[in-house]
Amino acid sequence: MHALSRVRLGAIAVRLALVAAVLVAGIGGLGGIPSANADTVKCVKRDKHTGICLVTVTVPGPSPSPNPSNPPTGNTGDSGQACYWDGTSQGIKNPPPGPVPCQSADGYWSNTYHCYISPVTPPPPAGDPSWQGHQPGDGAIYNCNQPQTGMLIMIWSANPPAGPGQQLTPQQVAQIAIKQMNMKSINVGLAPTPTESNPKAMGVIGVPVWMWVANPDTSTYGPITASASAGGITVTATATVERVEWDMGDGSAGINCGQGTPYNSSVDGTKPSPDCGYTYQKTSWDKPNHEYTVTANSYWKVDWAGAGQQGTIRLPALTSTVHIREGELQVLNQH
Amino acid sequence: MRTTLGGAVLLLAVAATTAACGGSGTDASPSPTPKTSTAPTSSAPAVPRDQAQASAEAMIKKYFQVTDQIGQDKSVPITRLKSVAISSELNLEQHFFKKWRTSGWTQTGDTKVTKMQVGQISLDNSNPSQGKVPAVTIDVCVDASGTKVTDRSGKQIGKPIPLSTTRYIVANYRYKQDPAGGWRVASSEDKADTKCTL
Repeated sequence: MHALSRVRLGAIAVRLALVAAVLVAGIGGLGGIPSANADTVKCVKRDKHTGICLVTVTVPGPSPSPNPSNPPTGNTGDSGQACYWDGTSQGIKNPPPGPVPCQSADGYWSNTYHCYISPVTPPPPAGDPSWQGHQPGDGAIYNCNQPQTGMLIMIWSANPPAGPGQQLTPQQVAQIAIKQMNMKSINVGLAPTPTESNPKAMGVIGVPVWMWVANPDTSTYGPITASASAGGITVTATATVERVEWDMGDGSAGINCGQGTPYNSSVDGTKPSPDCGYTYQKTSWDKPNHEYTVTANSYWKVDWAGAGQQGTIRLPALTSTVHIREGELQVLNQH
Repeated sequence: MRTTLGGAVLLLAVAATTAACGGSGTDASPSPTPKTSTAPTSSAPAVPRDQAQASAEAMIKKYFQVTDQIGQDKSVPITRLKSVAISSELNLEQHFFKKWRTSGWTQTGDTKVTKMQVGQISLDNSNPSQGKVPAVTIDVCVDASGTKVTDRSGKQIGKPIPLSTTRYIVANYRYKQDPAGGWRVASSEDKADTKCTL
């Protein structure tokens, strides 16, 4: 008897069960299916001729609902393939996670169920365990074909499982992780002192200005690491400030720096910063309030990895603004 | 139908005390179950119900003959399954045998049906396209001890299970056109019973 059967999902919530059904362990020569975690897997079907377990089920926890509706905006790098295999949540490490074709002879790929989906035609009769207690006409039964493991199971779903164009890409999941990071613009370090800190402060043209990231921490300069899970995949993202671009407010070109070097009062004030500095050539007298507006744009780069894919997302600049006053030193000769 | 399984199981237990169990080690008797063992779900006359039961039992026997043939002889086309299976059972069997043949496995010996216990019979044919079709639930005790599976090198794959019970649903998706010959195995599910105490 060769009845390969279906997975009995019992009272498990259907959506989870479907994910859980992605199953599988120890089918020996039938495709070298790897073993899943023994703590969460049980055999529900054995081949009568060999005694080999054909189908096992595991019941993982629920996946967070995907919510890509309001991801951070900005420039993005690699988008990631829309269809991907990732069996790690079921304890399946081989084959490793990676992109798969979105369509095959077995149907369309579902990232949620980790298999190719096609409707069972004709639908099974009432009483078939695939119905999960539902009556025919309430939802439908779908083939869930997992070529990575050689397994085919039947799943019930109230609506057709999401397919290509309807499911999250790894990059979109990375955007969810980015939303958790709560990145901030830098605290501006500047010598001479900005007028926000000392209204009477004034620099002198021709004397080097030092710029740096003051009191850098993970939220203002990185690195920040966060993970997000949605649509059957987990993505880990790490964000760091790639560069800080300084606009000195006098019309000159922006200056790209790293973290910069804080000015120390013990340093000769006529020495330039070793890595992030500028020297004004004109006073700020003709500027509003007689001040230059100094803008520090911090550009974050986010490297993400998940589903056997990786990519980079570059976010729009986070901006900090201060003002400095630059005057001219005049020597008076008194006769 | 799931909601009525409890009742069906209860009736099966009653039936087990009254029905002849066969136990000859050969194919099951065609009608081991008295009419009281079924859970009527429609007011259909007895004759169609008897016909459905007989057709379903016959199909179970044929089902094992065909699956044995496919397992034993790789020249037998897998498409022959369509003569005995439909819906999810057909999909699963086709998938399984493709894997079987890719792996170069071959079966020797025949699978024996030692007991059959008919449970629920439904003649609801209200919507075949949705799965609302006449269906007969049968628990089948199978003895696979006389079979052996080997790979291309002749090495035996695993060990056969002497006795196991599987619940089958035999359905007729063409009941209007062919009430007697349209029955196919549409579903199967292993039961925990390993001693065939039907």
